[in-house]
Amino acid sequence: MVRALLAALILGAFAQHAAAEVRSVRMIEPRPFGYFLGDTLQRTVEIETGLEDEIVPASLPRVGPSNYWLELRGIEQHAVRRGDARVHILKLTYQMFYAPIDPRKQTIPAAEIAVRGAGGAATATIPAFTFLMSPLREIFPEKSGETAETFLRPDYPNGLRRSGATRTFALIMAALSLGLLALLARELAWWPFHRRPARPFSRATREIGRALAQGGSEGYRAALLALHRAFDAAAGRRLMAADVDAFLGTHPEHGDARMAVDRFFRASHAVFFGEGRRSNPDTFGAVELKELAANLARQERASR
Amino acid sequence: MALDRRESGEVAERIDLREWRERAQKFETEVSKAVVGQQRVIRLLTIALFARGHVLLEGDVGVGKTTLLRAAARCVGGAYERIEGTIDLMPGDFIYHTYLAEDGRPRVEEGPVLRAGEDLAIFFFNEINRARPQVHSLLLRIMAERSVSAFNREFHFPHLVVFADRNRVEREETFELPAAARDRFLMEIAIGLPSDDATRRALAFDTRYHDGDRLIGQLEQGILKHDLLNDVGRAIQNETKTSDVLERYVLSLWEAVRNPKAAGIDIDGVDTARLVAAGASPRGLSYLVRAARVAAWLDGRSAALPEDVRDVFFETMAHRIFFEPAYELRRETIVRELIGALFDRIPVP
Repeated sequence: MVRALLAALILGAFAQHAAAEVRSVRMIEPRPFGYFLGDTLQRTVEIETGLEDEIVPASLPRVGPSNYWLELRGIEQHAVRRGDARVHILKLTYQMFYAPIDPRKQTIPAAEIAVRGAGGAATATIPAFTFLMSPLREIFPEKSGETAETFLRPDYPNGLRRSGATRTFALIMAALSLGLLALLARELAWWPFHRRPARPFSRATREIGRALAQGGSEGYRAALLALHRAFDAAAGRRLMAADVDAFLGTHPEHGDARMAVDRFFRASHAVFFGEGRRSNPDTFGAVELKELAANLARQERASR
Repeated sequence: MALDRRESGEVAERIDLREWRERAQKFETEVSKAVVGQQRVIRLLTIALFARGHVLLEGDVGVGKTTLLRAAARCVGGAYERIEGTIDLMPGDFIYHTYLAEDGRPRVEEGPVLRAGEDLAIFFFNEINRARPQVHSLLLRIMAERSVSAFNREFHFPHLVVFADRNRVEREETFELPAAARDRFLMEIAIGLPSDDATRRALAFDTRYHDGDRLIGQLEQGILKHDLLNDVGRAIQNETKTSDVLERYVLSLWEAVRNPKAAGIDIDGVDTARLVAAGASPRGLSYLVRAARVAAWLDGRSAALPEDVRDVFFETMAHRIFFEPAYELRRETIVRELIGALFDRIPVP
């Protein structure tokens, strides 16, 4: 209530002339009796205001526990136009947690709601609501011969249903969905139908590591061969030095490695076909070979 | 054998291969003045000349086969003879020239093959498939042994290279070359139309190309000294190395040609297990290696690379692969696919 007043005051300070107008507040209340512990009740407030007027959201009652036995569960709010007026409809849902031992009156306190217009503010009051709550049980059940066993109501029995047909239907549907999913996966080349793009350079990097670990010229030759096979696999055919340009044209991701690739092929020519000498300045060492393979593998991963 | 090596070694010392490479390049530029847009064919022809092998040109009518061979003959130098294949050509017509002399008596003189004697550098057989099998068999001997018997003695032509051409438009009144004859050609080169527009336009509109005789007359004569080519060829073969790996590579190519199925080669619509009736001959293989070595040398390298083998493979090997009759009709496409697949499958190195 204090918040509503404050909001109204602040708004009023800003716009003193042409104040907002609350023409009427109409309550649609539920029955005022016959409530038990845990019941909910819904109150509907219809506030009729000027056409341009709005409810200040901050002045609405706060959702959540109001006091030890009352909780505001929720507020639904909407507005409709009626003639030259605007009707704001609020639906407040409360839940009671009071456990009375005899029928007892309880009161939901009044609340004030601020309404602001183009040039001012007004206040609408939601009146208090008094209703009767009743106990759920006797105070002394023992007197009427109740025991702990008879006093507690039995659990609601679970309904038994025939599930055979449903289960069969579910199974058929599941199988059908799986089949369709498989077809879809095949169509879209999802796993497991999409063959995982082979990564020849990644494999070659491992093989080269192993081969070079053997050491010696045999290891070096094996490492060169491994990279050759990776180039073959990447190109889909046997790749010769003369085809490097065409290969890099179709695999632009490796374009950066062109220099090293050229040097690799020159080194391979020297080793396998006796063109030139291993000891010339163009020597392509084990470290460089490893680096090239790792580099190609990285580019390969980045591109797929 | 040892003697042979020493001899060739001496020859190699005499011959400056670098200078000869320049000469070969000059030969190529000179020939390409007369035949435009056929760089690859000219390169192959040069390879054949230095590999000392015979060449069969094949192509449509009017693509410049004859012009090319005449231009090459002029630039090689040495004596040059030609004969036209006709259906009534007989082996005797190669060797003997018979006529009635002025005194009315018949005379028999040396025919086109013998006329120039040992100096004969290029013998050009035009439209070879119009000649009869008898003629082919004589040609076989000339090509294989570079010799012929006539007038009761042997004539030798140590510097001879046979160029032949045939057009593939007509099939009537022609005789297919026997396998043995085709095998003796180092290369069978298909010659097609130049692919780029500028060259095509020049061929049609440039008046330079209208008069073939004048065009060839302007070329420099005898750039390659024909009587040294044998020595140069030997020197190239001795100087250009082939590594063990390359040798293994060539052998596996050969193996795969003979048995494509085992090499994992599949061709659409072809049972590769039953495709090849007779694979490349050992002679063909040695021709292939010779040509590859020359190709490497022309590229300025001291060792042959797989690329060299691939460059010359089709022209040196395709005509030596014989298919089962069921596939012979589709030969052109199948052989291309087979060789393409070969180089796609056989690992290198």
